[in-house]
Amino acid sequence: MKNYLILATLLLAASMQSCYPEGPEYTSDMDIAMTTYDTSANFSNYSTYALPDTVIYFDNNSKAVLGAKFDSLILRLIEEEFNALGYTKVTPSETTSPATVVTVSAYSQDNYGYYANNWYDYWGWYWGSLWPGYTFSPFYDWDPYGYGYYAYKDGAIVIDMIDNTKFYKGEGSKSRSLNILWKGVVNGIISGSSEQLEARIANEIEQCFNQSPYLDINK
Amino acid sequence: MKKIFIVLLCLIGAVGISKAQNLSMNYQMSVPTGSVKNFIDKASFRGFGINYHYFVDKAEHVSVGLDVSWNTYYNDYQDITGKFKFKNDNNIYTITGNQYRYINFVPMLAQARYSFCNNMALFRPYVGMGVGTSWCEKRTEVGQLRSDISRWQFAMSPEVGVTINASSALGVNVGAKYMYATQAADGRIPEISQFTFSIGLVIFGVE
Repeated sequence: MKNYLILATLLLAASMQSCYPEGPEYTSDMDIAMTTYDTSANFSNYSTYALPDTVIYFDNNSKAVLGAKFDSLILRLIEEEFNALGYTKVTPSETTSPATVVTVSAYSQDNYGYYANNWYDYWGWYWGSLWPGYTFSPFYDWDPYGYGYYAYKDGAIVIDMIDNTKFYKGEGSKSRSLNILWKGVVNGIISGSSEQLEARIANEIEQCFNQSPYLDINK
Repeated sequence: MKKIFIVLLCLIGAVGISKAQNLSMNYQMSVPTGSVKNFIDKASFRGFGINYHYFVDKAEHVSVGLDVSWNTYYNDYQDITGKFKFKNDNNIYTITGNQYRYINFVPMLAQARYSFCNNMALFRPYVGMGVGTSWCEKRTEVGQLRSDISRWQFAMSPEVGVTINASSALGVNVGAKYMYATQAADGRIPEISQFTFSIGLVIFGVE
């Protein structure tokens, strides 16, 4: 009876391997569009915006990641979305000052890792002990079925809508902080052809605007 | 009517042997209701339970024991929008993407059971009640972000079932129980309410 009790507890422990079944199947399953905004802002006060003609890369390497070839697509999409919502693009000059400045930034990072894929051996060992006559021995010396390696690039595009009408003085007279009125982030794993990436980027940028109905200032 | 049914089951007899204790290992399937269903509305086919009982009376009707089981709920929600908060950040973020939701629920109960018929019968129906604690982990994955929370809860479970004595050493258990566990962390761990169906092997032992 005691052996069976121990066996039963171990079977329970072994079966804990499958606590997180299934999950995402394709890298595009992990694309997200994330937005947040200043709830106290009245967006109709910010009907003009400036949009730079380049995407800022966090690590100064516009060759990495998406590559600058996606810049024009990203900037064009953002301009179209803001225009459709009732905003007017202006070029900052000495005479005109836009109410907000929209900046677009991007980054990517490489992730590496390995894992041991050995669940076969857990089962193989336990069933062997069900037969009477075998003594129970603590498990040791298992050979993992194999190691799996992974490497992936994940990337993000960050759209910040910055308040250009007022600045907040910090503690010292020289510092001032920016108020971000709206932030949209597109995040996903970079894989697939350029056409696929373009479609995914376009889809997620559009989703950022779709889930922000408060941005709409059309009369 | 119920009495006749129980008596009938008892009469389908076979020679048995004194079984002062038994150990049961069961496959479990659970159907969520209430708050669990609001989070994951798919039944769990990933469940396992281990049950150990000891008869306290000579006639072997009343038994006490321990029941430990584990259920995993999983469902994926394509392209849905939810509101999230990050640690140390007061802003509310609206995130749209595929959500992969998991609940792992591990109740550990002290049980008391009454088994009908005598210990030599082929079918021994039982009713029981378990009270104890459970550990519950709720996980949501969206994109490359993950939100995990786990807590201990108070749990209880009434149950009914039948032990089928196949031989002096082995039997089959078929049972159903209603499992309830209190909510925790202000409702972030939901109140667990589920119906669990078990089928498994029973090993008899003589003291």
